Amino acid sequence: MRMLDLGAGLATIALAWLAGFGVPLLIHRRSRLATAWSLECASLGGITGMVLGAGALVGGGAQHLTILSGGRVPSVRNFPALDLDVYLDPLAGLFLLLISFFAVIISIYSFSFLQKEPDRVKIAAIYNLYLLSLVFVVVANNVFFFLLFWELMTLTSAYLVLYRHNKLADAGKSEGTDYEDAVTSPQVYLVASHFSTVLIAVALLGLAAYAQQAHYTNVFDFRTLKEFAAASAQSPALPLDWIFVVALVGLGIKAGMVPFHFWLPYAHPSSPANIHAMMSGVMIKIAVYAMLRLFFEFLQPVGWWWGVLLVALASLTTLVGVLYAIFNSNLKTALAYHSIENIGIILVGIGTALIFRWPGFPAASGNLLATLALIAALYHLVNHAVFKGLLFLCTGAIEQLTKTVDMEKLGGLALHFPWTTALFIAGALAIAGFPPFNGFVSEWFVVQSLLTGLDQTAISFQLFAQPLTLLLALVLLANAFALTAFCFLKVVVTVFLGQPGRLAEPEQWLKRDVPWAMRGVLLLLAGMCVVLGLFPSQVINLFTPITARLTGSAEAVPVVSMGWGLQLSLPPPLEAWGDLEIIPMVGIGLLVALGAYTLRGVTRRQPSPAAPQAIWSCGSPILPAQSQWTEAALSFWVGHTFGAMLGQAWSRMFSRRPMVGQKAFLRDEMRLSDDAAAVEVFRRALNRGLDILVTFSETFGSEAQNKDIRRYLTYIFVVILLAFVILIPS
Amino acid sequence: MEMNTPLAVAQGLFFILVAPLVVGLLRWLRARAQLRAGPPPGQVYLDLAKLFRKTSSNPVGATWIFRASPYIVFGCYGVLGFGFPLFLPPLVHPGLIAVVYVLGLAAFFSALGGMAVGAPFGGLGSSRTMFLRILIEPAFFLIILAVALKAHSTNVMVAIAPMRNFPGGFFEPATLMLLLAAAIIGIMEAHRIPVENLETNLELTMAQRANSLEYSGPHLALAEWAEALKLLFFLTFTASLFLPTFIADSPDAARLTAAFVFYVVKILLLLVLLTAWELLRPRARLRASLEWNTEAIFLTLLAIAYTLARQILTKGPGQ
Repeated sequence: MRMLDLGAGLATIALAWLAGFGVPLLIHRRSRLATAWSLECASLGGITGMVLGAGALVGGGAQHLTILSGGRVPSVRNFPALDLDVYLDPLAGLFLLLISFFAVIISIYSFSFLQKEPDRVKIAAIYNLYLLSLVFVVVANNVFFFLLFWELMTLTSAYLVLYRHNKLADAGKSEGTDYEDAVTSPQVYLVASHFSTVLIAVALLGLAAYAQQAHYTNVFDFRTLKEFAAASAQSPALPLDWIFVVALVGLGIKAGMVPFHFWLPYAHPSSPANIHAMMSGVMIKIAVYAMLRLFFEFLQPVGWWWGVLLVALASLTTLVGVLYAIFNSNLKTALAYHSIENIGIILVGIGTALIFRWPGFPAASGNLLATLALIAALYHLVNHAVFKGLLFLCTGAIEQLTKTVDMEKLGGLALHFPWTTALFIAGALAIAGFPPFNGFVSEWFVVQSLLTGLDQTAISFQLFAQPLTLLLALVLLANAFALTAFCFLKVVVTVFLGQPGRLAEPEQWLKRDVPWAMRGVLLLLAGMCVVLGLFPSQVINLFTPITARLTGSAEAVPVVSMGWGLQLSLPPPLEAWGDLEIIPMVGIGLLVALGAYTLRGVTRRQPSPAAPQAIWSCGSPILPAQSQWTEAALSFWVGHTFGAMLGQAWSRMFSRRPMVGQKAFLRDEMRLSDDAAAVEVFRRALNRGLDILVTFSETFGSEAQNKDIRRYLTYIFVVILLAFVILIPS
Repeated sequence: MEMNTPLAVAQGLFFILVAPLVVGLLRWLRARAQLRAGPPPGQVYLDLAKLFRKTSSNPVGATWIFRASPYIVFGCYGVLGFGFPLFLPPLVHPGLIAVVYVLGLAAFFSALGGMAVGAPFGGLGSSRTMFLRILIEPAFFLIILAVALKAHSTNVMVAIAPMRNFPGGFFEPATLMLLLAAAIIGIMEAHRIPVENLETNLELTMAQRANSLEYSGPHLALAEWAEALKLLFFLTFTASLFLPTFIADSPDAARLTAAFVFYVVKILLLLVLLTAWELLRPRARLRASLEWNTEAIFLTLLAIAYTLARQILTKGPGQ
């Protein structure tokens, strides 16, 4: 099923988004028109991308096209490294569909969201260029252009991260820790991203060099690398371990994997909420896409410890992400930490698949387990984009309605904004993994694949590390799931329930809920959370061609049977493992419950109570806004249990003031102060590392570059000597 | 596996309807053990009926979340009766992992209801129940993983199978360890005595109770009924997965009666044990639940290690 030609489709997308970027810069004085133009272009390109991506995903085949041959550039005749090649297989199609879908709905959302925004033209224009880079990273089929678009992605998003800085500067608040944070966040982002780009480039170029050594031509082409991998899987000769490590660190930085995640909750929240949704919901998954390509297609054979390492880091990521999310009072930052957590869940799936791609594992069950784990990862990837998109866009709505995302200054929103409240709660239930929402299905899948994997690694026992890691992942994930539910309970309670808090200024809040353009988008996403939860089989079966390609198994195995809920239909030896008929059951249970709730209101015989009564306070009058529980107080026990893992971040939150005494449990004294926020263990580790590096290079540098001619001559001599040593044998 | 839909539905309804009686029995047993007359076991039904006839209060700041929460909580626990075998195969086979999440959903809304109007004691209850929740849920999750690893399936009917051939499945180290862990977790999750004393009404020591402090009338009735359902579910969970079990596969009257009687006897036995336990133990501080939980997790990990080690040593599926 191919509704759209690849070349025509990509040309439309590129033209639309370039027009969306370029034209507004010319007519930026008429900002309303320029913004509308940009967003329309973005939606148009997005719709084309959706058609193209859906076609590739459903069609199952791969398309290849050389858009611009390097040979056509006169001075670089016949230099295939510069061919702008594109390649669209089901995997790329899935990501293309995801990016394009969010491009469309975020554009629609932005029509109202950006209405009162002074910087709207710039945001909308750069947004187009940003989308372009995302799509072309996914379809690029060439090391050079992949890196080029990767870099474009970094730069455009870095510009959008500057947003908070610009906003503060415009408001004349160019002082204080808030402003310093806003200044440093794009810097941290750029440094981290470029470091990651360097590592990815090193990994890809190293791989290309290996291919060149094996006498392949056109080694910058991804297809060549794939052929090379297929050949080296048969007769492994080259050390690939270092490439794996370099690529894992490089892509781990970009994905936000612990311990390389520190930049993410720092940089992402500085962008406007609609862009934040794109960055945290979609962009960090581009790194996952690159991991799938590299680890499953380009690097063969898989080493025994690759998956083990990835699963261990990823499961740690989930726990660290959610713990820091709990101890953050800024809603956007907390959600960014949750992105880290969810990336961890996705990477657990990918790591598990890698464990079973190890050639030492019995191929029959290995391929099946890898397929199961990949499906878990891919489905969670889609689900996370949907529910996280919903939560971020709800946060944008909250920001617009109340001018703040500081949880300490919010409260009682359910009384004023019922729609935003209900939709946020739907997203919270989905991310906390409750049936019948979509998060549940994919988390269930991850657990199921870990569990079957644990069982099978024990049965065909080869390495102690494999079952041990899978068990570790299960234990950590079990904790992370429980903590996610807690975290979102805390968020919903502090932001939406109760009365507006002590620091809140409800008189400045808007009087009405968000406009219908935004509400419609949020409703669509919430609906998708339910649909993806109730009908997972239909979506999961679409992944079959992707997993078949990634696991290299000839025949595609449909692992689920169609219908309501989910039933795994696995071939032996796994046929006994689980099914999931309860999702529709819970759906029905909830419907009955809500139906009973609604009907009771209709058929009530007694008159409904006229006036609201005071809440119970042991008989003495209280001021509800002052005496309700704060988020810090709510999370005290979590800190008590898991605090040791967080370094000083949590203990400062509580120990700065005594817990007992009349001033305890008050908001401003309990909050995670700016200096406490700065002590996240990993960021301190990075700072310390950089410190050592700078000190070292200063000492070494001043010693090495002491302007003594003899020393420089020695250097030249050593270089020539080295060149001889390296060159002569070949 | 043969499934008889009307009977399975009847089983679910039985689960829902009999739950208050279990709470009544527990109170009655406790009273008798303390040589008090105590209310008759059926008193709970009368209390519920009285509450259902009253009007619900409407505290300041109440929204639909406050009013809908008891219904949702009740719905979640009610669904479990249709997805877990008491004495018959259930209506749906939920997969054991889903049970954790359904319980979690109920706890989530119960805590939301407690905090919904920003009442000071509601927050007390919510924060305590959610703290217990983050301790219980991983432990409960691990117990279920251990069961699944033992049975090579997360399907509840497959997992229960070893318990159905009496001596072999039961007298096994892993099962006994899990039985102990499940008992600890069940007591914690149902907020029975060292965690909380549900017989008192002292605000400062409340956890789960404080969640329903603002509720009255039908809402309160639903909340209390839901608590009873939770207790019965954990009794059933322990009784079915870790004690010898008799499930009537075919709707044959004799087998059905036998299975039913067997189930009731097991639940009564557990109730007597629970009463004895509650009489002998004082209520502990909240902090102590951490130690409890650690014990349960440790036992579960031991059981998992035992199961895996057995598989590794025999190089093949156990049993």
